Amino acid sequence: MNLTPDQIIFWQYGFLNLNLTIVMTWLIGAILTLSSWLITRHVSRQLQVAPWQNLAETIILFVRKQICEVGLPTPDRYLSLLVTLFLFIALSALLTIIPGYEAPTGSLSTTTGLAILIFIAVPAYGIHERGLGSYLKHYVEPTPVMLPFNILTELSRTLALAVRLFGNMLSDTMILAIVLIIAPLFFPIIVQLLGLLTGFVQAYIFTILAMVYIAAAVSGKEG
Amino acid sequence: MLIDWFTVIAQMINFLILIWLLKHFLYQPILNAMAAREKNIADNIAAASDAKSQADAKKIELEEELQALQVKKEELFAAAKAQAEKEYQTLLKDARQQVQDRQSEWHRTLTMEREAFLTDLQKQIREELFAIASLLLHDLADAALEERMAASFQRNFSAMEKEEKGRFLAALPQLSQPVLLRSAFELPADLQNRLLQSLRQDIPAAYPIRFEVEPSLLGGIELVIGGEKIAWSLANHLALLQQRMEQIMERTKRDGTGE
Repeated sequence: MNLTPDQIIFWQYGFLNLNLTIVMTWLIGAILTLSSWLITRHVSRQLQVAPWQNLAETIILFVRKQICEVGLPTPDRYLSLLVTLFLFIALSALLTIIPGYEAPTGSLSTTTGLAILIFIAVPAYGIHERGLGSYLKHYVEPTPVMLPFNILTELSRTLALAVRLFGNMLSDTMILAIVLIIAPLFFPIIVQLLGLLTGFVQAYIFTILAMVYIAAAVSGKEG
Repeated sequence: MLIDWFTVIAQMINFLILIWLLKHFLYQPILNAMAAREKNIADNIAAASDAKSQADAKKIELEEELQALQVKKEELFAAAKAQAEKEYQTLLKDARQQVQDRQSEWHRTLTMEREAFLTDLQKQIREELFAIASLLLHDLADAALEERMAASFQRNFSAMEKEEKGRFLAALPQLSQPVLLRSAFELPADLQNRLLQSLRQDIPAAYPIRFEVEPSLLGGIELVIGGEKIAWSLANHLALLQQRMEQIMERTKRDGTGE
């Protein structure tokens, strides 16, 4: 079996290639965009709202509340990044119920890409909120001796973020494959459901961690 | 190799594009709608609050009006009551007045009727009495009485005050006809002579004295000089009697009406 959907390549030219990860990402992106368009096509500003709009509002409000809870003062500024992260990872996990589907988050390339984006976003938001000098200063706090450790913390937590997501998503697939071999009839369904749950939990954890890192960078306190 | 760096970069780009797309198609419209809804709700609440405060103000105003109307009503009621009381008193007074008027009218009528009756009775009594007296005197009158009367006349004339007599006799010079000496009966000649002698003491001989018979005197004698006369007759006494009787009647009537 393939350990990662990166290995299923449809088209290649030099180092450029079109693998299953990218295709699945496009699929998820298309589904999200299309459903967003459908939901907001007749957006209601009144008290009566359509169920799908209600769902979208619930998710957005939930993330916004979470952002407020971790101590970020202007939640709407981080909303696009964090909600997209949550929706992307959650939908990736949700679609695993479809046979033949490969979650793009099960590819370490995807999770690395997402982790790198967070890795860039955290100082970007920090500098944007506090200014470059103030932001860089937190690397030498409490003493300049801590500088290498602080940088190491930054790098390691980004790596951990990527590997955690990758590991969890991959583990689902792996466990499913193993259980399928041991007890092919009934157990895979339970494991599948379990995978669905962990997928959502991962989406939540990844989003919350990204949120906490950003909050730490913006407020100047360690998350 | 688990990480394909091209895929990493492609996924980063894909993810950024997805962020942009979702921001455009999802977050912005939803956030706008939510903001609009919140504003709408806030507006509605503000409008409701406004309406409530207006309604409260209106309520207070209406309550004040109601109170004013209540006071006005009570005032009007009191005024109407007072007016009715006044009207009642007036009507009562009028009714009493009317009753009193009727009563006094009735009294007056009664009094008038009684007076009329009394007057009538009095007149009849007087007339009857007078008739009886006249009849009585007529029956009793004779020569002896004549003589007594003449004597009485003579005495009275002599006893007259000088001034009074002078005033009576002052008419003599203007007299065109003789002095009359009237009596109810034909006086005997000696009595006539005696009377003449007596009169001539005061009346000069230039003025003739004539004797006349006048039955209405009822016995008695009267001396007439022009428009003046001195009399002594039963008619005079009867007139005096009549006057006294009238006085008695008057007193009786007064006592009868309770005045």
